[in-house]
Amino acid sequence: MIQAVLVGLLAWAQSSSNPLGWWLIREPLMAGFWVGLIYGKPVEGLIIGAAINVAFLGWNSTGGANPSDLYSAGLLGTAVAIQSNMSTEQAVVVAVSIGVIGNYAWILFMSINSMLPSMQDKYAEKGDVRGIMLIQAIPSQVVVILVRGIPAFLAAFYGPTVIDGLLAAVPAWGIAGFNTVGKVLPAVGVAMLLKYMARKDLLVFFGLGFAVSAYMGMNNLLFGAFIGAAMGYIYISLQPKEAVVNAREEDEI
Amino acid sequence: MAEKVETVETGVSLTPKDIEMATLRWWLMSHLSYNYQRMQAGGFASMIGPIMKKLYPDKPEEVIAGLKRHMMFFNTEPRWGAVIHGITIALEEQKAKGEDISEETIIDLKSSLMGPLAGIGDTISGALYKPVLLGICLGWASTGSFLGPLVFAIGMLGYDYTITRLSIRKGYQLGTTAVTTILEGGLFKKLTTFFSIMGLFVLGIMVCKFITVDVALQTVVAGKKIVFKELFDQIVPKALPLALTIVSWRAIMKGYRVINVLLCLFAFALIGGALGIIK
Repeated sequence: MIQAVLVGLLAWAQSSSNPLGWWLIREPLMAGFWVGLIYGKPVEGLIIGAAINVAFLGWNSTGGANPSDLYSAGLLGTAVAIQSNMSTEQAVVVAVSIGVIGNYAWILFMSINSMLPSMQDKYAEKGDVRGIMLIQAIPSQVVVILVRGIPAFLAAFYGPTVIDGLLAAVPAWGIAGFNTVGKVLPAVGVAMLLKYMARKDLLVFFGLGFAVSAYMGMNNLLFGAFIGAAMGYIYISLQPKEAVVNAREEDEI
Repeated sequence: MAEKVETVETGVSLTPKDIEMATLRWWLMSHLSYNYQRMQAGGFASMIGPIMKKLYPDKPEEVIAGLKRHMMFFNTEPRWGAVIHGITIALEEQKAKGEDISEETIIDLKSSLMGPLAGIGDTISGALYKPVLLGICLGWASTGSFLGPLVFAIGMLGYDYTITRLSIRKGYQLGTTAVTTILEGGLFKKLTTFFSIMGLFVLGIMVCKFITVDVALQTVVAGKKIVFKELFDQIVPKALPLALTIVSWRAIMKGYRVINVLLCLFAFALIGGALGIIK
């Protein structure tokens, strides 16, 4: 019960829409760690959160095309998975599914908040800066508690029972399929990221990274980042000035 | 314009501390009331409100006019886009000092710059810097290392505040010329090319590291067991993760909704896994 309350509070802080929430709790990697800490298994939480996070690599905060909600997927996915002793693959599937429902929390947040500017207008008419700032800071937090905090508490408290029941009803071949889904879904994350990053003239570097890793088994990403940075530096150093300028205009594939 | 500033000596000057406080207000409050009606308008007004009060100590009607024009629709990337905030503060300060700057100039400037700067900022922050840092940190985290969350938190918070602060300061110092410098200086293009190369290379490795699905199919032909995975591995190891990534990417590029791509992969994996073709 206390743990579920803490998960609810974490969900509130996570969605409070400021840099501390974004970078300390929002990303499933971070949320997984905190949830793990709440349930006394920080390492497990971290590993589950990281696995969920891969499926959300291409998630973008500008809204729109996100198929699943990053906030609730990481936080509640880990909370449910850790209580039900799921494998990381199963956790990914559960998390992405939770996130599909969680998308509505974001829409609700933005919609209910749409009443606020009109209230701020009234304070602007009076030249009351303090009033504008209070409306900016306070009422939306109540909205977050309603659309994020309370649902998170309920999911953390009742979720595992529901999910356990569901899993118990699934036959062995279904579980095998379920586990495979968890291994495949990260492809969506990578593909979405590829959509943002890919430039026709630079796509060869994606192939290079894949080839080095696939054939040599090299999968140290920090090492990869160093090599990538070196190649990037060499590339822009060798690039004639006009070519660099033109590259942006024709890069859309 | 420059000579006019010299001749008009009335009005309050802003101090570096005013700019720092405005930065802090924006950094913490920009999205608190984020909404469909006016996006970050309330955040912008909260950022500039105290500055308006300082600029017009005995002219409440000017404060009111200022708050009203900054309660208009506003939306940009909060870090790089903060150049606009710096420029706006500089313009408001000059206006308060008697410079001939109309309300329309300020409003037009904000609405014409928020789009381009959002494009730049979203590309650098969302599509380049964060994914690379996140990828590396996920590598650590997936082995249970606390270095993952620690480095990510420091790396993102540090980036977020530093860029916001620099953008506002640069915008304030350079005024309207700031944006031209950023948009046409070539720095942005070099930066995106550099990050794209680094990001794409790391992304190629991520395909192998994070997409762990493999071919499970095996069959017996003429008493000889054929394991398909071994066949594939001799030609292109990790071919299945690569194929799934490329197909999903092309589908998204062709305009298929991501949720549908997700559902297709879901069905493919569920059936393939249940039948024992992939694992």
